[in-house]
Amino acid sequence: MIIDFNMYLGQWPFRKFCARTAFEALKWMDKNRISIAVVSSLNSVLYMDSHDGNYELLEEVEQYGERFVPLAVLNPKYPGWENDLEECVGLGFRGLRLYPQYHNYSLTDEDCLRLVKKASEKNLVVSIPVRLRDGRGRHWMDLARDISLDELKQLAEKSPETKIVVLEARRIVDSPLTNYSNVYFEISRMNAAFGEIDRLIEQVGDSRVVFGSGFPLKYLQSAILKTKLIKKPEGTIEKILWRNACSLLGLDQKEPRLGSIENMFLP
Amino acid sequence: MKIDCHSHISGRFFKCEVELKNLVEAADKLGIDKLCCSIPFVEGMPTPSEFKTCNDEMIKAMKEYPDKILGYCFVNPGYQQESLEEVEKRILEEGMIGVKLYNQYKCSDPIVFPIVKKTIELKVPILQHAGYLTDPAEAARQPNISNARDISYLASLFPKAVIIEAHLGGGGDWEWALKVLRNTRNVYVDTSGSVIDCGMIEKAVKLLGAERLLFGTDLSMEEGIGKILDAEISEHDRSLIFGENMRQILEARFK
Repeated sequence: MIIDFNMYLGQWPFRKFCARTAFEALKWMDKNRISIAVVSSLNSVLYMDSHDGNYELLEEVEQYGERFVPLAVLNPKYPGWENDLEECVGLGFRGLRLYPQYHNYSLTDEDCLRLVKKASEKNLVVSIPVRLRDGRGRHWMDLARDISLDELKQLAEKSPETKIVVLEARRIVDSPLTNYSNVYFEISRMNAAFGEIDRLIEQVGDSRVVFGSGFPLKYLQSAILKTKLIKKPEGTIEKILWRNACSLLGLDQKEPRLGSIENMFLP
Repeated sequence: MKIDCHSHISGRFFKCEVELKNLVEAADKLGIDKLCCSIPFVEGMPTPSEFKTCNDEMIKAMKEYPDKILGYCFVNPGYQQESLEEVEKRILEEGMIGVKLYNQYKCSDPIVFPIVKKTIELKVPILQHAGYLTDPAEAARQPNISNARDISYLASLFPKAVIIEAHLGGGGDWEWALKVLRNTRNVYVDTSGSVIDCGMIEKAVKLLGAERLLFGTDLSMEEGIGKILDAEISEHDRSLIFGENMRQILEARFK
């Protein structure tokens, strides 16, 4: 089974997408044997009121049952997030995605720290994409910065009780961020071919690394290939592919549904 | 068959943090049959002695892995006579497959033209480092980087040249590049780079045709392969991109 911890649904105004709806995403998920997608709303990134995107997301995925695990996007600089957070818990969201680079705040801002603390009190995991696109070809209206590892480190230090999943990060090995046991790492921008993911596992253990692709911002297959190149025991690969995600999200660790990755393609 | 038309190995003047044997091992695991590599000089203006050192190191790697590694000859067009001699020697006598040009000059600069004429004479491709960098800070780092317009202009001056625009997935706004190059038939585009925006390959096939696309990694191995495997294109087009097009380019000089 594969759980993709880094997927999105919705509109992205800067480029045409190959999948915007849950129905369209499922086609790609099935092709790549992704059983469950952990998704958030891309609409929420640019809406003034992010929480409207959370409602839309729930509507979008509700008919597909357990294939999608929704994460809520909240902006701690926008009024009413405390109420929205309560509502998200009631609606069944399993965690949050934060976008300080688009919502114009720092991870160490007081409001952000309060949101993160409240989220962890409610057993919500907090995921943070370092970026949503490569800056070299950014749209002229997309001025968002990449989140630095140092900013993430400060958040990890100030919120030791919070489980933080860093998405879209690279050059993690040997960084101080690896020292924080409350920080987890998604693999889509790390290389497996030259051993980066292996080294990360050696540094942080195999319980703090999760599979993710970034789809539909990015193709799915590249992340799948990475898992084929990791030189670690099958048990470790299983943890990365889905068991760690289950633990983080509080999901039942069920039997595999869509077949083992071992049965997949390879060139 | 998979031919990676854009790869690199480390050299004295180019550090890419990947050892040659690890590159070959990764290529084997990913089913890549050939790696077309170069050792460019990525900052500043290399002297003839320096670019010859790059090519010496490239030749050494070709000899170490003769079935896997193919080499481009890297030169600095600012040293015209030395560059022309270097290209001729490395290709005719030492088996290099083409010319790699980096960002020392825009390829639309007339100083580059003698090198282009030489590649036409030798029937080999030019792999041109390129990008349309929309972020001002990124663009400032490479003031002489060629973009698709420069390449299109060069191609219009030299319709018999075989020009490869490097790294669609590593040169900034790839959609801009595709729109510019759509009608410039003698320009190929390599798909390499770490950027794997979903839909990139489908759009490239739609605008340029699969016949003008070449698979590459630029050392982003899983990204390079994954985007071609995942793209919603026909198996015939996938096969052209993965190796058939580059095979034809490499064999052209022997016909």
